[in-house]
Amino acid sequence: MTSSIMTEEYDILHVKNLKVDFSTYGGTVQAVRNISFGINKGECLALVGESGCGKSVSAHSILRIVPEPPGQVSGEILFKGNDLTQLSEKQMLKIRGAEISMIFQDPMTYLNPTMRIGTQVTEIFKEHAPKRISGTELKRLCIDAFDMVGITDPEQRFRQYPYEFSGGMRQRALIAMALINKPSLIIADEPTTALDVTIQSQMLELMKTLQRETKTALILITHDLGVVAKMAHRVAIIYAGKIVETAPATDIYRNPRHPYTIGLLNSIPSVSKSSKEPLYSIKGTPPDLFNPPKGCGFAPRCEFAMDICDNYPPPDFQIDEGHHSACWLLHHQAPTNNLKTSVLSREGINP
Amino acid sequence: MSYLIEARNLKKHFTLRGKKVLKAVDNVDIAIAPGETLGLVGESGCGKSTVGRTLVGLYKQTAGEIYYKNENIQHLDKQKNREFIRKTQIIFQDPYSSINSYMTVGDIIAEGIDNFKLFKGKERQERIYELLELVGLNKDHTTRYPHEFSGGQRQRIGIARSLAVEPDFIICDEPISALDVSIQAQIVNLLSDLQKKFKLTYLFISHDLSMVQYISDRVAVMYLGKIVETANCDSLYSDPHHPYTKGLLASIPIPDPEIEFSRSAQVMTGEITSPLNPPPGCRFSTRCPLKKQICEEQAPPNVPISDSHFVACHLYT
Amino acid sequence: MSDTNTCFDAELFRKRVEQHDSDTIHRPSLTYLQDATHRLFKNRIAMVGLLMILLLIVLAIIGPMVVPFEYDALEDLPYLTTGENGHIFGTDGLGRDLWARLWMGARTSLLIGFTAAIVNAVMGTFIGSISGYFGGIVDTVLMRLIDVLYGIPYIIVAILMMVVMGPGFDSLIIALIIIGWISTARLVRGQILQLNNQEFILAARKLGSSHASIIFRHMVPNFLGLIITSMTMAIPYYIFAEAFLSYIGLGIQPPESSWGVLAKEGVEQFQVSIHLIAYPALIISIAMLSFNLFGDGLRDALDPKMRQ
Repeated sequence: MTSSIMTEEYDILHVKNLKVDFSTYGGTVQAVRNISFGINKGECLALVGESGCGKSVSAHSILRIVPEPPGQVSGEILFKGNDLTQLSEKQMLKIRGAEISMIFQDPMTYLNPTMRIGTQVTEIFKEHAPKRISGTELKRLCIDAFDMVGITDPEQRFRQYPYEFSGGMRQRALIAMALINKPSLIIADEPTTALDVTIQSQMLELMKTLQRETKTALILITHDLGVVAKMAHRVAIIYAGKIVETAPATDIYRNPRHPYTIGLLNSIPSVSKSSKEPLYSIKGTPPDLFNPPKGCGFAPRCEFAMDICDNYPPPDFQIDEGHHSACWLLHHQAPTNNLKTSVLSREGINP
Repeated sequence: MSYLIEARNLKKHFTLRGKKVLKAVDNVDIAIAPGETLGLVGESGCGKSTVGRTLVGLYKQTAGEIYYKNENIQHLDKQKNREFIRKTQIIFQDPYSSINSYMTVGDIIAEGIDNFKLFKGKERQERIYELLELVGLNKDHTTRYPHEFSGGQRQRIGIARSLAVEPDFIICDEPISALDVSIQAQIVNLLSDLQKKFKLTYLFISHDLSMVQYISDRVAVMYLGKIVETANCDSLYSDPHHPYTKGLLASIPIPDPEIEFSRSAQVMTGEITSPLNPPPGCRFSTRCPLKKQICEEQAPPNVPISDSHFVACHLYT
Repeated sequence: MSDTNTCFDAELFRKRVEQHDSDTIHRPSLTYLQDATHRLFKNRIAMVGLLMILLLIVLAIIGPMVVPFEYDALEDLPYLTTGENGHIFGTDGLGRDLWARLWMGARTSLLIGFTAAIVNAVMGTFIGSISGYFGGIVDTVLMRLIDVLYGIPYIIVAILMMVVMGPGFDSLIIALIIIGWISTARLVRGQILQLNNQEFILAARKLGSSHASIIFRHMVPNFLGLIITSMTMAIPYYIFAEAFLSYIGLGIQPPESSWGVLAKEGVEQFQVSIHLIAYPALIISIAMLSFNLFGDGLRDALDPKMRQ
């Protein structure tokens, strides 16, 4: 088993050994404790984790929008071969919004309520335009973008303010803003969490179609395993500032190899489960990142924990092509693990 | 059939500035039997939270009657009214704004006990410890403040607070939406256990269709202030009739990429209309793929599909 | 980071025996008050303000006792300058020790400032709470009343009151209170309206809490910080109001002393001796500045959004 996250090649983005600390009054918070991942052209990578696990901070680090101080970012962020951590702010300005775009969770706080939507969308294009563009040309570009994201009556909508748009429309506007400069990479941070389920499904369909057409790489940050199933080619599960498992999407659901991943999958009610059985739930709460556990971050809550888990952080073990898991149960010295038999079987999934 | 709590023709309208009327709940019938869990689902603006709050007397209804143990709550004498206030409780969505951050956990839980004079002195303290343990917290938490706890733990504090007054009916208003996935299961299990232990009746309000399916006996689907379909849990999910229910169920992404990744969902078109300007006739007519002429003109009647399954849709008359 | 092939002591792969209790709270954390206090003390400028306020209070109490002269004694020579004959700040036109007069005056002015600010804060909170909480006709009536009173410049009202009641300490306090509660009332009403539909308030209703209990136990702590800040910032306002009214002859009357009285006397005689206006002016300015600096720091510290 030779390949690892570090040696694999990625043509769009390769994050290596990312570490982010925040100094606060109460001490240093280790928000991201050594994360490595990568993404290729046309791919959708889902970063999955619960609140406080470090997924948003990781995404913000890519775009270098983590406030430093109090934050401290270290590691390498290779975007098409260039290390973003070594670029000046001026150079980063050229990248944000053009080469790499971001879609945020709450469209209302992201859009300026006192500016027309059309102005906000075209502003992004103007910032990165190679030469002067006329107002009419800008308007046409914006209307094309609106068409692409399914905003009806684009001529009229161009002149409207955010309050005149519904939640779904605003998110479409954000998607338009993210796509207008044809970036190579889009980072979407919980883009549908704030939306109703019928609108969410519209947004996901839209994002998927657009991604396929434009072959843009998409990093999707979410906690919803249904959304992941729909959108992702590959998945990285994050817990307490570290990636605990990475795999192609089907493998994560069919052959999960980390107790946290298994716990998450089992916590979701499924159609087949008899409704009177208690839902499997992971005991306890996520750790305090002021004082992260010495060994494996998940060990305090893990029902399979061994002594080594409390004392040494586990390395990445390779399970299959592209499938890694950081868990001592995968070490050759670990007892034949009862992980598989303990997985409550879900309909159609072979443990 | 004797219901614990029942609402007939319930309406709750809010008058906003500029004399506009928001018909949050517009002619809703609800009936919940003792020990039952009724799930109430819908998207934003459908009025489900308003229904819950009106049922327990937090909002005064604009029209219609509400019956608790077969008595109209508007005609209760002072003592019975106090009983009603105590016996019907509510658990809220946001664990950060539903408990007072300036009170200790012990005081938060004891508030109801003190107001209704249920226990005194040593017994009171024992009762507080008992409640904490029931929800999975422990005794030394009594002197701590809410901000020292996580979201899931705060939600438990809220549950303990409601249990303290020995209710028989609890409205669970999106109790897990603000929590992480791994914690949601903990709380749902807790609610389930408590229901069995204390023979509680629940109205479980949520937009999370999978959780509602898991915990409910019967489910009602709301859209823009009206109930569009009611059925036993299994019937609703396996045999939905109303086009909105079908669309809603089809929108849930299934956590299995082999099914979900290549599935092109029958996406429901259009936006959810504003509850300020509901369309005349059937409220869902603006988005319904199967709409007919009559749908735009007349509100649909409640059609029985079986004795426990009802749909408000012209397609079935 | 261990390599995947490293070998370890076989014992380490034993299943762990005791289960960790992840529900215990490990991190020592701060209550809102502790966090606010900490931030306040870190704010050097606010601490300077606080120090100066404390210094002024101490001097107001012991200042007059430090010198052997009475504040209203006409014994000595007039218009002495700083330090002459044992008079720290000199004497005024009637031979009275300025230092003693200044600090006696401080007692009056500070007392008026604090009293007016506190009474207005309390009254404003009561009225604002009732208005905001109960709404309906009570609210409408009170709000209209406030609108009317707010429109009248307080100076006119104060002057009218003083003319009607005659000058002096008591009437001055009443004049300042009569419409001073309005801004606090408005502030409190706004807060109550916001809090009325918050979930923890709805919960309190279901738990059988009385209206008084809901207002004072649940709502007030949420905006107490705002009231305290507003009160602290009101103190210099009332100090100045007293100074102004006394200056135009309607407030405290000589031989009683207050900063306003001293200002008046100082201005009248400044051609003859500058220190008679310089010292009072300096002390009044320092007082106002200190309260403002401290109040600013207090506002930042108590602001829940800036919580760390």
